[in-house]
Amino acid sequence: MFSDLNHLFAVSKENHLQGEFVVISNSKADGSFLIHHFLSFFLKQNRPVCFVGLSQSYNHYSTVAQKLSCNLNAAKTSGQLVFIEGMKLLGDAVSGNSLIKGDNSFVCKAAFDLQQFFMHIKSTLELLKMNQTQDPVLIIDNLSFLLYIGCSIPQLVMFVNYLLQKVTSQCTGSLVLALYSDMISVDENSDLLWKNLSHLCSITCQVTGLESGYSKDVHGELLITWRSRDVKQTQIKKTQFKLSDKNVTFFASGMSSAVL
Amino acid sequence: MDDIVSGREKSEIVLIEDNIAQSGGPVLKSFLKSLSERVDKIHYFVFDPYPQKTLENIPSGCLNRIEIHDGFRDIGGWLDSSSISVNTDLVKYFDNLSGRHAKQVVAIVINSVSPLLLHRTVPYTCQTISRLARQIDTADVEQIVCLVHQDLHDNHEVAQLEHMCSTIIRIEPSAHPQFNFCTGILHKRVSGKIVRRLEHFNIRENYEVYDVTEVKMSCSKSSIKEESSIDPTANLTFNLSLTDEEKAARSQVKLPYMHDENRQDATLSKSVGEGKIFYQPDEADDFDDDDPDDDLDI
Repeated sequence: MFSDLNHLFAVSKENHLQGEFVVISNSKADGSFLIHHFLSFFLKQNRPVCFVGLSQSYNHYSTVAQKLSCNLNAAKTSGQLVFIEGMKLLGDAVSGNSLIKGDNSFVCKAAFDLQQFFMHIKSTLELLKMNQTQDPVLIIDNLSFLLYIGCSIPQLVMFVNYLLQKVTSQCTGSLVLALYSDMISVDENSDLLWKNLSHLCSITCQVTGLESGYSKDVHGELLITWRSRDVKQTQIKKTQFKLSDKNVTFFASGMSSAVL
Repeated sequence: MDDIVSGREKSEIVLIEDNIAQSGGPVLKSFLKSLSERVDKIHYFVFDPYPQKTLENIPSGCLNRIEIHDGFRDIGGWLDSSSISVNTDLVKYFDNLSGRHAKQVVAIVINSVSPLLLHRTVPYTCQTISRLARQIDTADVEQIVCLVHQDLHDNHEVAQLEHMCSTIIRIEPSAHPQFNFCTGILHKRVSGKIVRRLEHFNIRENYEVYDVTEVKMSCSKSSIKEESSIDPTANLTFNLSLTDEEKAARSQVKLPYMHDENRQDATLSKSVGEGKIFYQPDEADDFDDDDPDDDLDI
């Protein structure tokens, strides 16, 4: 959990990002620190978390969380965290190493049946809600993976629609999704998915590399947009960041200590 | 803009196009509010998230007339619930609905048609909207208002939708700090006249449109004209322009290639044979006095 990030997201005692739908996009810079932040942040709030890992293994998240002084293993055994290791399930299904149990029937022959997958997540969330007092959180890292293994845009948008409906409408939970989106590149599908999600979500975080190229003192830019559907204007915060081993520092554009 | 929202200008199908940068929600709410004052019942189909939130801040008197049909709860029909989805035949559904209260004046608001375009086809969406507008016998449909997220679709898909609408309101980012909204409006009047305008406006907390100002496209053109008429010879250190006297003097000058009677006469009057050749031998010339053809016997 990075305290500076909490400040940026205006997190307070009243506002724990309840009922918010956050979409994180990475383009030419690594925004995974945001995912790690949200994971440890919600666990420290004692909120039940369902985490779908589609880009890294469980050990990776566990090690990073340990650095942020958060124990995933303990959370898992206490039932606060449910970790769905998407890549491992898919790998097993392809190689046919293990029989797919009835529980994981959403993975079929190198593809995800998103409807089944949603049903699985839905029952997980309902279980979490029953056992824990607070509203559940769903984090998916990373949604682009589903696009790459052949899910179509309409399917994915439908899937996110249902997740959103389940998480933020029926109970005031939070939904955090990450995806890769390169606005400049020719990957039209990623761009289209990003636009679709931007219309659905309440907060977008865009992590981009510097326009001038890589710098060892400034690792990228973070643009946070609170989308408003009302008369008031959308609120935008833009900042540059530098990642260090256990922390991340934010500063206004061009105000890096290396520059001043 | 305010004429269309308030209903003073009749329009059968209104299409609001928005994008990520500027949400069309407030404009849609203005329509909802003004429609609720004009018709008996508004049928509000929602396929976008937060159906309840989209009705926040609308006066409760107006809310009584709005009936929400939540298409978001089970948008793809995955949950087998009774609520509508994108697969529902909206015309049939609506016919069954309006049978209950016959011959009311109703309006239909769809927020938004983007899921229909994405999960169904464009022709299906166009057909549905046009049938909703014209083929409902059980109720009198006053107006249909649709929101579409224009940046999610190809241009030709949006163009197909635009063809069947009588008013297209395209929301653009406002360049003026004084105004929150900027819209490009294309309105096809009942008489057949087509009006195209670009307007700035603001929306009050109670969703009234005010401060409508037309952005004059012509004013930018005239400023270009003014710029071009600036005299480039004004601040030169030398003289490029001529006074009237100088211009008169210049016109008097006869140039060599110009047709001039005097000069032509002079040339023609010289008689033939008057020309003579004078030859002055050079000193170095080897001049032979003898006739070189002397030896010839002709």
